[in-house]
Amino acid sequence: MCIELPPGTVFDSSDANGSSAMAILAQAFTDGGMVEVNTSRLSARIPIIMFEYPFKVDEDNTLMLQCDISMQNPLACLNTQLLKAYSSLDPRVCVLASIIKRWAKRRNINNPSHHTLSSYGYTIMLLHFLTRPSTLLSTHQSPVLPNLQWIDHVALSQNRYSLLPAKPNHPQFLVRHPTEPDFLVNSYFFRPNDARLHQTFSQNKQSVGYLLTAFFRYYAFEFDFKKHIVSLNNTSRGLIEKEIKAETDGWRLGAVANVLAIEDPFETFYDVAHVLKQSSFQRVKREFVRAYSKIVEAVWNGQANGLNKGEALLDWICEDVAQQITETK
Amino acid sequence: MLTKLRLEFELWCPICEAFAPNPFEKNKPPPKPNDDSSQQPVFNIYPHPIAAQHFKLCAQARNELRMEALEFLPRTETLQQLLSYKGSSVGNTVVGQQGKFTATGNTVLQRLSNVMQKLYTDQLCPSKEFYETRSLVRSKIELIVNESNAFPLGTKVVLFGSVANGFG
Repeated sequence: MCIELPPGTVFDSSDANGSSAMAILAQAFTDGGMVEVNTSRLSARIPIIMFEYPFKVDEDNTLMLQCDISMQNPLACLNTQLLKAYSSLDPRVCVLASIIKRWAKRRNINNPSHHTLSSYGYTIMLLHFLTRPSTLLSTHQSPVLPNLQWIDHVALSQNRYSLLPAKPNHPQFLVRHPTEPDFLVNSYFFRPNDARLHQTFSQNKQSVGYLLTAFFRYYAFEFDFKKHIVSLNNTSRGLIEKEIKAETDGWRLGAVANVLAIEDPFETFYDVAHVLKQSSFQRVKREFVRAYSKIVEAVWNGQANGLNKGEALLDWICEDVAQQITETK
Repeated sequence: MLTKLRLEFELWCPICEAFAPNPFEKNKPPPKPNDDSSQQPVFNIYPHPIAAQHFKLCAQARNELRMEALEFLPRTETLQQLLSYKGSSVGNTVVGQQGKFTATGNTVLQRLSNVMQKLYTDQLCPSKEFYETRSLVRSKIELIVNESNAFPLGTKVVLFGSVANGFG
């Protein structure tokens, strides 16, 4: 959760980031029955309170819901709005994202503290894949999803899909980054409250099974991790190269040369995949190859072992790593 | 020479990022005493003329490397190949309600789609109770925020992150 202050609110100079106000709130949480109220991050640039909310399920059972609340975190809210817009554009997006998350968790490649990707990283990878006019989906000229940060709304009014040569940079779109004062975030994205958008993109009818297969194949064999970055800011000129990223945002080529790099949609200087190490990246990449290979195997030889039935195939793709190791032993 | 280079490239695995051991290494003559190995011709270990079986040998060596490093053999068929696969007349024939039919790549992916949709609807999709609980918690927290008097009038509590972006 995030506290959104009325426009123009300024705390006095001794409490510029509002940590004193947040300390008062932490006390109010304790008084209000919240549990495990943690104030250790109140001195951060964006102060955060972590706590547990005791949610009474029935007379005998209480569920402890883990919550956190920050103050004035406009970029996180903006990011949420963008992802929400994408997820509401097409029902296939949520199905794909959920299955990919399940797959990544079971294959043990969804844990940033162990140098693998966060769920957010996989979500950006999925959106990158769905928003680019891919040669994999050669029967369709338009991608599965429009690129909301770059869509040309004038062309859209003529039922055409094209990308803007540059993002609109009117002052109302520029937001100062809360922790990097020199960085201005371009917050523009097209709000898809528009029937034309759905009309233009309703032509793509590919099934979620096909798209999942194509997603695995794209990151297993097609995407050049050494040359390009995963980004939602790809323009009509194509994918963003790592060398360009090094020039524009100072990404260290040595650090990201051989591993996957994922650009945050708004905080473009931030690499969402920075937690990856060479060895963990290889493991992630191999899991993409493994998942795609399983689908091919099911198509070719599935009848012999029943894997061409959907349920068995999905279980096999999302096979628990721990279980697989036990069976191997 | 180009064919020999192609043969050597057959040993390269882009997924493991390594060359498999060269199966023709055993043809290499033992080094002579006081002989400078750098002066030896590079391709003298390869058979001549090169035939299809030699490519098979290299592919086999690459597969052995893959089995050792990855514990599975990657399948690199394209999506077009996958979709256009009609199944063998014996191996991939399945019995359905309409009688016998041949399972094609397209059918397998359609079955996968159906299961994905069902799993999402039955288990993964946030329930009505989730949205109700989320709304209740947000309202309660907003009440505490406003009653704490630490923030100006009109302060709101909004949801962000996976709980609110539709990908949770």
